[in-house]
Amino acid sequence: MAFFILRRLVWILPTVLLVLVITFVLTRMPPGDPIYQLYSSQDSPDSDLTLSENQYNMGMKELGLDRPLFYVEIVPFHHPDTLSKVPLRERGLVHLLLRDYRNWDEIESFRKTLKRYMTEMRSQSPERFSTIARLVYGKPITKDLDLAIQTLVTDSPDSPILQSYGDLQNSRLGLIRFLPTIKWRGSNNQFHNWLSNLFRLDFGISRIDARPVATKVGEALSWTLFINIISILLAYLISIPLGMYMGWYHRSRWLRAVRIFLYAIYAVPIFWLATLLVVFFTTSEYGSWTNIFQSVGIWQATTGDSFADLLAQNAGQFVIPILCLTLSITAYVSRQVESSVNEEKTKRYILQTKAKGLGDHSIIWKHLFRNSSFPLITLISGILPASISGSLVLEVICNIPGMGRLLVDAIFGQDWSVVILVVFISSFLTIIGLLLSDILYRIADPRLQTEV
Amino acid sequence: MKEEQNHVNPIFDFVTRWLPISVLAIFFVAALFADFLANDKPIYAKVGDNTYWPVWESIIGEENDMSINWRITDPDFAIYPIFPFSDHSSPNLSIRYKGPGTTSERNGRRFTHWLGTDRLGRDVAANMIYGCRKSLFVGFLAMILAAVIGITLGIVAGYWGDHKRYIHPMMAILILFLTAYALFLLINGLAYGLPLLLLFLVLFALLQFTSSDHRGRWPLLLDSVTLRLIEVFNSVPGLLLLLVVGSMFSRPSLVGVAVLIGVLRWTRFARFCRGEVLKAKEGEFITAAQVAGQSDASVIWRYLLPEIVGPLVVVFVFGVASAIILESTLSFLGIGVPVEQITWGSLLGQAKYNLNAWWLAVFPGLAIFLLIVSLNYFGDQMRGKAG
Repeated sequence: MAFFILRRLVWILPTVLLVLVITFVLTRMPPGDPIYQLYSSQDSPDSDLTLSENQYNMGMKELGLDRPLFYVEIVPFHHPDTLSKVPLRERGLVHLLLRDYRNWDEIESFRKTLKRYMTEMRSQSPERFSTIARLVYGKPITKDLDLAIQTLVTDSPDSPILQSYGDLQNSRLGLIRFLPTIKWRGSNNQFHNWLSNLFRLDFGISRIDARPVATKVGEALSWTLFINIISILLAYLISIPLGMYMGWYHRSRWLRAVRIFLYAIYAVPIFWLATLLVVFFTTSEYGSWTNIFQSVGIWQATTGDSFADLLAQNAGQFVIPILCLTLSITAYVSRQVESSVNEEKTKRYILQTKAKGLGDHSIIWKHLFRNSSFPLITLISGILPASISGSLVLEVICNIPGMGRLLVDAIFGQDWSVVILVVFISSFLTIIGLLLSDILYRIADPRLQTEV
Repeated sequence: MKEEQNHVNPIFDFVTRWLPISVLAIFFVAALFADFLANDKPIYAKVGDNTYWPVWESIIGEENDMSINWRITDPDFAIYPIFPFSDHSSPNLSIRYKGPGTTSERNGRRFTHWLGTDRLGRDVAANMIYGCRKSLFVGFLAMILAAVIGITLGIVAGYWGDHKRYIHPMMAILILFLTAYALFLLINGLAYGLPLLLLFLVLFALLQFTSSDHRGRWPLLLDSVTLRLIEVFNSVPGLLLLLVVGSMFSRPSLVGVAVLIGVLRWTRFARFCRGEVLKAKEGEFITAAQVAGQSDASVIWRYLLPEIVGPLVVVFVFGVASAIILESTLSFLGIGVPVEQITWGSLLGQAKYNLNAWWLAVFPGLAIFLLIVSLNYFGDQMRGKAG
């Protein structure tokens, strides 16, 4: 058994590594310029050069974006080692030039000339500046650059920028671009930096309210876990007896009605169910009896309240999400239990118990239950991701400050450090859940322990 | 067993047998002929002595050179679609949140909003018709992609397994290098034809220079690698990743959402396909075909694939249902789907802002529910037939 657990733990390593890499890639993906987002709460376009070069470089240094991406990089021969020092807002232009002309010295001098020229133009004629800056900075393609240069030619034929652009075109290097080189970057890279921050549990500061991301996510996590644990427990309590009886008394009329109801619930999208409950049963708009649940929207909290205080104050808020989540898990689990019972009840040992003259209840709970309950454990691995996803949407509808609410707010507020941490934690929870269910399955079914 | 079936209520039998199929048929017809069912242009119009078929003309792109703007022209005689609004009708803020049955006026005619209007005064019924097209499009596109990825990997893993194909170490190293180089070129955007050529070369080498001879060769662990991939993909919560990646799109689109769903949801196909292939491989007709000297490719294509295609359709149908739910969840939250695209999910999502607009909560949700329930039921029936 210990050997099995150990092997399972070793097998999980590549998965965890891959989740880490995916999360890291996600941190580099968000749209918009992270340095602008660092300095201002509004989103300004990458192309307006409002930050001076010095300020910009300081921002890059602070975010660690001036380092290479990874320990080892395979880059084309003509890429310089200092590429990561180029300001992020000019990276697109530089990559384009590197692809087209390959000669680093000329490219660097062209970039600097262009930058000086653009800064000058920004103070002289802002409209012209913005048309050209939009073409050149950001993510330009060859056509954009040509258009920008042409505009410059017609406006000021003797500018140094044309000279520089001509030099660049004349010094084009040839086939060396197809030659890859392996560069060792050492431990001073973005991935290493990110990983060590992760291990030190330093996740940065939220962009929306400047609180530490870890605290925010931690608070939200407790609500999501609360909803999920309660709902899964309730759903198992309901669906095990229900599924057992539905499987055993297959032809009962009542249970048939229950089966159809559960089949329908299984197909109801969880957000529709919640929306219907919120729209029809939180007001007395549609009749005096319809005001059943507390209306959503107001989350009462004063700073310093403990988990229990908050729960007591807002208990009414949790009824709809827990109800919806429980129903949807019940619909799934009871169907699985039923089919498992259908399979087991044709087996010989059940015939034996009947021949012995045992009553229905004793057959169901003493003999059938143990054997048809193994799938229940593996089911957890399917339920866990679905349940977390379900609660995310429910939190948004019912206004509970859990992970879902937090995630959606963070996405709309472009608070990417929060978004990334939420993704990471929920993937991690899922992996742990899968691991536990695998191990529990082994423990519960002694038949499996002999073959490892 | 047999005798009891005679007692089945004929109405119940009719409902269970035909209702899901007819609901599906209605949805498909609505998706296909959305332009004729809901449009702000008339189907047939007469202005003066000229006759027009405006809807048809706009579909085939042959709009009249005079290009009459049907939104402001009042024809002498016209036949309008059942829902005389289209999904790109401009917002009309004077009729926001009007309940079902309210009418609004446009060029001297009164038109009824059968299912009410949304928060920008757009017609709910018309948008639901077009939403049906969008939902089915996303569901099918996502699942076609997922099926292509999943079936390929599943067949490869199931048919060859871990110890069927062996490769010479030198060849393996060469292939690794070629793949790495192709990726290098692709990532740096140096040449687009070359990497494609290299990848074809690698595929060719994998098919041609591997054999069942194991002396001095390395086994290709096709099965283990596929299983590991499936495990990794299953351990990431799909909706979450979809939300996050979707929100990072610089230009959100329904196609992007569909592709993402397809890339995340292929594991079911792969796992199922692998299992079915393992089962079918035991059949004597496969051994017979192999002994007769058929190549692996033709065994797979001519004997194995037809054997497993029935159960795979079932997986496909359930997959479409789950993809549609995912897409509507995304648009319900308003993330990853373009704002101007109105879908069932985004209509339902508007109910959050105005709890009195019950029609926004009921009708779009009902449409999603009916589509999902009939797809699931259809899938169950097919599963029964497929064994």
